[in-house]
Amino acid sequence: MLINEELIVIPVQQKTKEGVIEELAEVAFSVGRIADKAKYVAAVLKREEEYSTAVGFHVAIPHGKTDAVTEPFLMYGRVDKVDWKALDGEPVDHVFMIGVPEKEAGSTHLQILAKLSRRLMKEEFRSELTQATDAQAIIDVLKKNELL
Amino acid sequence: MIGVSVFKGVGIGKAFNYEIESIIIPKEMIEENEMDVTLDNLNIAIGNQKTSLEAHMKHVEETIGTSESQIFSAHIEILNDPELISRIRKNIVGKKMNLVAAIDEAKNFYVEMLSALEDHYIRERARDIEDVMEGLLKNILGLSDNPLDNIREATILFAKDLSPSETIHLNDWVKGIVLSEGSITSHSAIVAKAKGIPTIVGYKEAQIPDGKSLILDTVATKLLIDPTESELETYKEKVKEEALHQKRLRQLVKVEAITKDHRHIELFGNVGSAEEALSIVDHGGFGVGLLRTELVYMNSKDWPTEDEQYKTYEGIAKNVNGEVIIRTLDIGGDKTLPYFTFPKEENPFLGLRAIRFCHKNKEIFKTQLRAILKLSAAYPVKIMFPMIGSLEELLEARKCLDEAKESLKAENQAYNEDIPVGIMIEIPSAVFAIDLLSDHVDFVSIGTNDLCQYTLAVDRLNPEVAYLYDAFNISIIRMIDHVVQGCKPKRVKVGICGEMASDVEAAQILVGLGVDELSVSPSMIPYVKEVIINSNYEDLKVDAQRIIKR
Repeated sequence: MLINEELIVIPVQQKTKEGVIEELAEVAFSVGRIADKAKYVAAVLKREEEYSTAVGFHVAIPHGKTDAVTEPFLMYGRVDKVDWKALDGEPVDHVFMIGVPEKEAGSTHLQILAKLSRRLMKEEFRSELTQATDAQAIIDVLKKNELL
Repeated sequence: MIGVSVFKGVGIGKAFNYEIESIIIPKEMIEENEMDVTLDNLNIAIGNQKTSLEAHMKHVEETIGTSESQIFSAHIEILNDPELISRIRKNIVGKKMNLVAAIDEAKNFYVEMLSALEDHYIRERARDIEDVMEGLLKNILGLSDNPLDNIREATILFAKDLSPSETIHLNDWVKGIVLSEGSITSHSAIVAKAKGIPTIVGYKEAQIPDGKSLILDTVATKLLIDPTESELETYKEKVKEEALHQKRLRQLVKVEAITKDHRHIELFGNVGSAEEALSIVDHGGFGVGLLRTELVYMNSKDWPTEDEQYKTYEGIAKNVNGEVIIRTLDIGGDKTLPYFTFPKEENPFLGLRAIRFCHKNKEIFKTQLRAILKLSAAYPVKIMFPMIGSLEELLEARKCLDEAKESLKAENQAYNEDIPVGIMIEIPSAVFAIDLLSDHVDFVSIGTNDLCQYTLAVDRLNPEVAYLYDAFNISIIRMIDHVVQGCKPKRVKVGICGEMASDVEAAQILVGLGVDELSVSPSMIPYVKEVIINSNYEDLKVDAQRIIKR
């Protein structure tokens, strides 16, 4: 499974982009999805430098492709108006973080990203997401929208 | 009036608002060692996309028609475009973009460049590139499923615009299409027309919520929301009648346009491309009444060479079994070229356009004349000069033609020495000099769009005054009559190649005025043919005279 309840953090404590990535990476490390937290965080931040991963609608999708990842994963974190240097200048409330092993080059993580982005265009999906208050509810929303 | 009707008919169903999906592209930089894999993936993705387009093409060819399937052949060509592919590769190799970012950049570059041009044909081409590239991106990103595939009840579809591939996928549950953008010449409109789905473009009314019960009547261009039982009954009857009507029209494809009292009218089509030429034949037309050659120039990156022009014109000529009237370059006005700086003009429509431009740029003109002349050796081609306003302009154009002939003769190149020569009548001064002009031409074709605009002093694209634009204006009718009367004694044929001819009521008046040829949008050919076949020329003559003498 790409995502499970252990990979959902509501709410995230940190208030900065770097802090949020760090906190979520810690969780991924604790459940064994990444072997080297520092390396993964560095890969994610490098991506952020190239293009901001804030996709609009108060959502960011940071991601890292590195051999520090042992098993592909998707995480969800509920944050509180974090400045993600978004193009639209709006703060971010939802963070989906992706990790993919280096070997899995291809476009697996791009497909996760694209599917997620597509759902995010729909007002209905976004309000369901906002209304979900715990990990189980988030899983239900993702299932309902064929993201699992 | 809720918009412009593209295909006339009635559709009954529930409203469904289709949002054109803009996909978010996951842009990333790639590492040096990922470059080869990315280039391989590009080739694989393009290969897959071509296979799927070929399947589309075959499907359309079998279910709709050859000319519509050409749209997809044009799409395949886009994927073969060396410049486009090279730009994507450079993005990957030089700028280290990942595959989707590289494709997206190239897509945006070409679409923006072409959309900046005013010509709507070119803007359509931009739409095609967008369609193809988005298809490619969606396939790579695994987003190929489309909500349109899931329509399972009688539906009136609302959208901003549809791409040809979206339109082609519409199943039989789609009973009507309402587009807020799109034009009657857009590819989506062509396909909708060919599929026989009642369609409206330019819809500007309020959005109708999904699931509302609707009747779309594109004949009266109206929309009935929550219709009553009796309205439903009436319209169901109309749907049945319309289906029968379409069947009757299809049976007319091979029939000539001859009135009951044996007056034969040449029924031709206006085209700009080989695919449209095929469409003339599919719709039962017998030739090209107006070949808009400016498209060859607008689609080119530099002045098209003689050979390039020859090939394009030949592609069109060989697709129709009949004569082809080639209008020489009509550029300027609202039509510009990316590789030429036009002078800044206060009134471009009264400025350096069409034949005036050609007379100032003789070499460009002669290149085109030579290409057309060469074609005349093998095909029944006629040549037509646009925007002639005086005898001097016509004689100068004829002189250029003679010089082009001389140059071909000197090279021992074949051409038709007696190629028929005609002019467009679209400037009021030409109407009242018809007695002089008709001594030097074999035919004339009245361009009612510009003739109306110049006579009524109305810019029909200006919404403030568009209501004054009226092809049925008494002055226009009288001018057409004057042209016919001036040409008849000299056996100079008179045609009409403006949009007016596509209107069935206007077509009857025009035939009544004594016009010999009507050239219309290919899809309108069956409708115009039907009214001609069902009319008496003698009756139409009386009606036309009554209008003139009002």
